[in-house]
Amino acid sequence: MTEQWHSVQKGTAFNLKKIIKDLIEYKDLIGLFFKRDIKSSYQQTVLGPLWLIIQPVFTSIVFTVVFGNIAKIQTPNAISPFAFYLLGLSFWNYFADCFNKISGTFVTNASVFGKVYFPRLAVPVSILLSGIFKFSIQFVLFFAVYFYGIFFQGFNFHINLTALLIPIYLLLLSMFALGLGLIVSSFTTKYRDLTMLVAFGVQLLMYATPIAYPFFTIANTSIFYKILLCNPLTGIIEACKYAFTSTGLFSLKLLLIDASVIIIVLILGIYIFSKVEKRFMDTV
Amino acid sequence: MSVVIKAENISKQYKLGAVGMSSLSDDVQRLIAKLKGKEDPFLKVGGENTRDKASTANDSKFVWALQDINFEINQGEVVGIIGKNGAGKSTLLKVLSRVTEPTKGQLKYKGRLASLLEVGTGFHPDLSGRDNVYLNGAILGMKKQEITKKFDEIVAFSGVAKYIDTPVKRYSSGMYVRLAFAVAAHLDPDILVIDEVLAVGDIEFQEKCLGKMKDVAGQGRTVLFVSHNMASMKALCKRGIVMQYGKINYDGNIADSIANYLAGLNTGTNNGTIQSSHRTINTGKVFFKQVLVKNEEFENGNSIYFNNPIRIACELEFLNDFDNVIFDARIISADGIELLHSMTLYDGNYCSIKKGIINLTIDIENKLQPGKFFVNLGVHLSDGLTLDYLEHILELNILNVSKDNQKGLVYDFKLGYYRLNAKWQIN
Repeated sequence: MTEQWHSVQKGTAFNLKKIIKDLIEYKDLIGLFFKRDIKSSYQQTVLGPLWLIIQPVFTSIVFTVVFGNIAKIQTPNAISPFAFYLLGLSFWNYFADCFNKISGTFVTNASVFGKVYFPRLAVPVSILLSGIFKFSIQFVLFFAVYFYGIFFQGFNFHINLTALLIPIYLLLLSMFALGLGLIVSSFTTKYRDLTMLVAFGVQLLMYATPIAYPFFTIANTSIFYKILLCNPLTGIIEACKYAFTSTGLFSLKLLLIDASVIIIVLILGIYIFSKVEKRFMDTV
Repeated sequence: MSVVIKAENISKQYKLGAVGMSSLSDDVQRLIAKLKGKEDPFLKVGGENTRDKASTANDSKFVWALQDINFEINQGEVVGIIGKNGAGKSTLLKVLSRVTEPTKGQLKYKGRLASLLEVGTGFHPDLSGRDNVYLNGAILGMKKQEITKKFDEIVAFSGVAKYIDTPVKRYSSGMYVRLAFAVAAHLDPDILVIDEVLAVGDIEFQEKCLGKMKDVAGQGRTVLFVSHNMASMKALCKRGIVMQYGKINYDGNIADSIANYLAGLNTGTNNGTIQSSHRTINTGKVFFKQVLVKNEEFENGNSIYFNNPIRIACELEFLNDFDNVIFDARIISADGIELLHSMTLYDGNYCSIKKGIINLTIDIENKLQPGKFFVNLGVHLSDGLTLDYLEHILELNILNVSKDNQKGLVYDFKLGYYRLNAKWQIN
């Protein structure tokens, strides 16, 4: 037998290439996890995947009423306020859902992880896939509302070429959700305090991201303006909105800074996760 | 024969007690030590892996579940790992199956390794049997294509073909387990690590599983197997590793290993007190306080003359009233076979017991052949709940001479375990 020895011991060096190779080896498992998530989510519900549409529609209606009609926040003229909130929320929901679920990777999968070995990263990656699936449905809904606005409500056509960058924006959002989620998940194996923090932290983060209001409504002299710019999500979400409204913030420089921050967070996340996955069974 | 698994000084340390503020401070101390370039300060401490509180002399917060485990396993060997509850078998399996890493030392292996520490890992109750076969197979390390190829075989083996498109939450527990084992049985790894999975299903299915495992072992695959069932151990394995207190106590052929293991179970016959290591199940409502064997004259002592009746006398404490109690006793042979069974339910009645201390005596007709036997005792409820269970609590030493040995016969033969009640007629 000329096969190589596999070795299991403490303190094996971090090897990103090997982690990715292992993950590709288990691509079937990732696909099956994805299928499981989708199939099991809507078992024994009457409306099934319709819930994916109902939830953002109602949130957008509430936002339109609260922020548009009551607080009188100005939204871009290019689309209806409802379409504006729907657009922001579909991207935000994708990020927030993935982040929330990935944060719970170790705790919710402890029973499976405790019994059999497979690359633990398969779970968070499959969560991203199910997230993309849900996002796609919501995004189709947004398109329907958008074109309804153009043909029946008299809005002008404002899609610009940056719309082609949407897949890259999604990739950045995925990487950020994965990186942050992996870090939180790794620490929650021992200290559950973070679970509490994340639960309301994500809600607060939404207000520090231009979802419920357009970025241009914030005066560039206020301290909140600077806080918003520090949030890597701001640049991405604004760019997503810019693609359909041609108003708002689109800055390549800001996007590049965001992307570098996100890549650092992701690598840090994978590093911590790969350290913790080997012994989390002892502390979870 | 080439070596496919090497365990080199594997040790595993666990922390006792709950995770909280104190563990945060330990983590900080560890981090400081690491930054200063020193060794982890907690690796030096840690008691031996014993469950009795009194016997741990040093009252450390840390315990070594495994200590300096070394062995090599050749390709195609089928090895049984034996030991009492808490001896470190499961921890060793966890390290072997890469669920957790060792604190010190290293494990090396060659080829594809699959572990089966539980049947049906990752089964999702809402998904159909078909989906779960795929999911479980992939979790155990199979490729989708491989599963598709073996799908019909798996379903045929499980015998649940009719229900394959029904969600598994509607399955009976037997069907569930059959399907789960069927997936596992069709894994094709080079090394297979198995924990007690045979203790499932009905007898027919258990035999099927055992047969399948024999096939697997026969195909030149390396198998590591943990079970408390000495009979299946003996049937499957050639080599045995006996674990005690987190260390390897014996490593050799399976028959000697089983004998070593059983001899190591110290029985508390002499003064009747019960050590916690014998108590495998307890719900805190009923306790055996004292258990004694009495011989012919009903004096204490575990040496019993050939053909002389045995009396077992127990004192139990009931902390509640129960009206559906079943007592049971089993006799286990020295090589681990559950030979004989007796229980109060065979009379068709449940016992009604009031709170307090009771005395229980069991008189047994002794047809045992000379040799060593063990006794297990249990108290159960009619719904199957076990209130207290003692394993190997008594040792019976059946002598090879009878009490009134007028003819001077020595029954020094080893023919079976038990004598038949037979009438012989010569015409």
